[in-house]
Amino acid sequence: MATTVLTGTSGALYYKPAGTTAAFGPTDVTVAGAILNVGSYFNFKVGDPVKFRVVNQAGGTPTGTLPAGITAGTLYYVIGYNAATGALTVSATLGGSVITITTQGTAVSPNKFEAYYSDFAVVGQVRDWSFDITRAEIDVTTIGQTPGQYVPFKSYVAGFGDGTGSCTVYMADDDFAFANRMIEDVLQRQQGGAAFKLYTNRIISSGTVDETKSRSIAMDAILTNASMTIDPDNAQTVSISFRPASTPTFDFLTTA
Amino acid sequence: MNYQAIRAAVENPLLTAFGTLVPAVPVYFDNITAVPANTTTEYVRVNITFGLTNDPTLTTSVDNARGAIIIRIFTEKGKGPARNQTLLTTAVNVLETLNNTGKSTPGVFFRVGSLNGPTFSATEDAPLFMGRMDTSFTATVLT
Repeated sequence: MATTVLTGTSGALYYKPAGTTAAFGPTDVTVAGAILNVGSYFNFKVGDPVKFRVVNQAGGTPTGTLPAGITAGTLYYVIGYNAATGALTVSATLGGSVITITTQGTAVSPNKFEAYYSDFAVVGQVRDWSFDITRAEIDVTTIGQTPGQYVPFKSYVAGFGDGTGSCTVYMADDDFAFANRMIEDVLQRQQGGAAFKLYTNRIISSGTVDETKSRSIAMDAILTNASMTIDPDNAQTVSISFRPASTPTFDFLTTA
Repeated sequence: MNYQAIRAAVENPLLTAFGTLVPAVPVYFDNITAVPANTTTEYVRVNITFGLTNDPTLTTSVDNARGAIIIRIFTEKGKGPARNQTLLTTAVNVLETLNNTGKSTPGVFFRVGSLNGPTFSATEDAPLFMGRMDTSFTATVLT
């Protein structure tokens, strides 16, 4: 049987916006009005899908109880965020009314509550993306080898891994286009939460991405550069550069 | 994509500009029958073609209409190019005015590229002298 190659048209770029992961404690929860003071100058926007969890910032097993009225892993939608004060309010439905909270919850340091962007979302105006990974080379050649017929050869071992990525997006005539938000995120000071999922082959099943059959590279990332080109002849494009913030996860298997 | 609106954005000002000349010069657009053969009456022929009208992305595409405008001016043969050049200037002024128009919403945002021409030809057979110029354009339909 012939082998079928993958084509670029089956790829896609999914993104979680920068500044959408914020930790807060029980004292930051105001029961009246269900106001969560998650900290100032994050990047939550009205309509953002968020979830909550308890995290252990020392890396251990998290212990604690979310405020009554908030369920871990349940989808909520941002209905208000004041960047200056850090006050976040959420609803159980998109554009709905604020949830009701009855307790502040419990979380003893180093445990914290965390609000985070729920899942990767497709960026519709991406023309292309690229991703490079490299390994450092460490020279471990020893000197003083006995000369023979041929020259002594250098020896190397592989060192740290690193990577860079870039994508080209069209600036869309839409205030809420996800691509436009990605451009703005380059200058977002707090970039926690920024993550890319680069599909080399995206398989849609019943209207949603079939992660089992799809192939992808996922990573937390920092956005490092945005370069714009505007001329009379072409659609406005922006080249965005990013770098993995930790080890990327490769999922090239289509078996469970 | 709204090809009608884009076409109208350039055809209307051309029709108005040539219609206000004294005497008015008829303009014939695509799929409109021009004056009968062998006439010596001056007229303008405008053709608009669309080229790439979108930019594909990995998951969908974005609208970005591009195309070309070809304007041909026919004037009486054997009397020099002056009249032809005068009418060409009218067309150029219309196109350059389009480039000076700011972006509004809703509407069609229209920009033409470099103007090529005019080039002139006066074949032995045709009763008219022809001046031709063309340009590329990009257009955005804002709703």
